[in-house]
Amino acid sequence: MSTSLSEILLPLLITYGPPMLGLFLLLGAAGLPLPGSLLVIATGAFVRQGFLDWPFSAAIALAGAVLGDSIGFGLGYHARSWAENRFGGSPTWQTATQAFEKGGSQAVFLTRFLITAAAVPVNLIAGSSDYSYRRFLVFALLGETVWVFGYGGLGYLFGSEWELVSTFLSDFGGLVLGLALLVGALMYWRRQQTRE
Amino acid sequence: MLISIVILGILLVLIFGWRAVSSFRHLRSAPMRPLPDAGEIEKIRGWMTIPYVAKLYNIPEEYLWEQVGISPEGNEAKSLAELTVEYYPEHELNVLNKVKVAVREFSLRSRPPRPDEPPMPGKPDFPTPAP
Repeated sequence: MSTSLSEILLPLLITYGPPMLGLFLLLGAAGLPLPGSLLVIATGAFVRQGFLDWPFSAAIALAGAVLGDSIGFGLGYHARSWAENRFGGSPTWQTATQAFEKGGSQAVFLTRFLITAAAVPVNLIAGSSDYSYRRFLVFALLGETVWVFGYGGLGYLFGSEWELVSTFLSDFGGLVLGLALLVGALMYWRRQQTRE
Repeated sequence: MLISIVILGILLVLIFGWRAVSSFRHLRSAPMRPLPDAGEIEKIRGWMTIPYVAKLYNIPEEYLWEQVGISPEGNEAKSLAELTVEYYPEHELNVLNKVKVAVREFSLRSRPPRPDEPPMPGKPDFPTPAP
């Protein structure tokens, strides 16, 4: 019988509750490929079904996710000298770090809940650039709050149909990622055209 | 490089756009209720545990353990899929199917009989759920 990752994590979440949720979100935000959004949506449904307590679950989820983000930032920070030695001379690297300086806050905020697939790379880039940790923490906390209450709220609202919410948000995230890639490529192409 | 990113972006938009529309249609028609209806066994999944299914369908836990033929000791945190692997490795989906059958039978036995319905033999042979 094939077992998906969510089939391993969900029984642990339903049995051991919020501490397990916090641990999974921490590991996911730090870089492990765990289905964080699915777990947050499921938690919302479990709260409505009376299995979990919402204030405790929300607080632990936020703490775990923000701590995981900070670990990702720390990894990026410690890899900075290596990245600068390796890529520092290239114009692409300099353009990327400058662009992050300008739009980093939006990137940190939006990748917490809208383009979640890009959250871990953004944490690493933020840590390895000149972006301040305090600003990172503020925008990560804001974004994770939208994620926990928005996704968890949808899980709460749909209750026993939470899996449909998870499927829709996962597909929608893929669509937004595709659009972001196209917009990014278009902006890069226009910038190249202006230079020429 | 730029061309590859554009192609990847277009592919993601097409694939996930189509899937998002389809999943939104399903979601829009979904009822917003906390618990599944009694006997709505298609909502039971392999990741669920026996205590979770029991609470979800308001069924005594002991009844489900009895029906799947497994002792609850040391197994309460295990999913139906894990229980199958551990106790019935030769039969795929075995515990899941046993639980589905047990839930359906329980809901049929515990629902109030219709006025024109003959009494069901041996009903009920387990505690009735709390209202």
